[in-house]
Amino acid sequence: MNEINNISIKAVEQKGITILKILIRHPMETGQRKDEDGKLIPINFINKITITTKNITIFTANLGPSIAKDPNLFIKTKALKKGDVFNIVWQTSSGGEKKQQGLVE
Amino acid sequence: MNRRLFNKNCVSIIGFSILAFKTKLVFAQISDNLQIGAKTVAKKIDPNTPPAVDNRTGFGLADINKTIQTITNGQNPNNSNLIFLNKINNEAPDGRRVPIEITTSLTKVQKIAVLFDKNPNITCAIFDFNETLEPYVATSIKMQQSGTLNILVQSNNQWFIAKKVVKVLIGGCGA
Repeated sequence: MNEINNISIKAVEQKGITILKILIRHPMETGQRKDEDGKLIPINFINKITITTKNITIFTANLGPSIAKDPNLFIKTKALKKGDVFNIVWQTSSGGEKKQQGLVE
Repeated sequence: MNRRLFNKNCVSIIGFSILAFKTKLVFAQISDNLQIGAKTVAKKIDPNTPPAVDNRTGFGLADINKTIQTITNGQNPNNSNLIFLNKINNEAPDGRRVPIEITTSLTKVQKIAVLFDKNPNITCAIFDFNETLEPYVATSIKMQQSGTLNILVQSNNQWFIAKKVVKVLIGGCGA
């Protein structure tokens, strides 16, 4: 788990196919929950995850607030081989953006 | 004054005061509990709250058919038995986190959309696939109450749909 970005990435190549596992720590607030004082907790969720390698976007996920808290995402790709580097960028509905680099094992 | 009467009165007054003090304590505890109870009730979501506005295509719509039409750009999706919903049982024990896994034997998959009709926000996710990706995706979604999971797959510019009814035992908070 990367402490600053709260992301955990695992990419392993097996027989030419890389399985990519991503877990991001995020509350995924729907904007409909209330706190102890009865005030609405403002909406805040990850709305986009993009995976790029060698300047090519291989996968885009447009997410809604209906995705569970601490979203996980599993995909399989032929574009990544052992030793390849890829970038994961995720954006939140409140306008935040974070990046993390990953390496295929 | 009669000594016996004096003693009797003393005992009764002391006894009564102790009783009164205890009752006060008990009442204080009950009112505390009531307050805590009120706070927990306030944590629950209000079903009448409208869904948040989301301007992206296919997001933030209140109706499942409208959402499908918007995502498929007016095309009517065909039912397909080539879309496989693994890991999804007929019952979801916890609606806050329902793991889903989608695979398909359809070729040239371009998009996969996950919709759950009984959520305030129907569109859970729309995934865009590059041709180097295997037609596989797994994630976890919220389910507010029992409903139908709709999976839309765009393959070779054609849209296909698979449905699954899921019974939710504990509702996910405000999905």
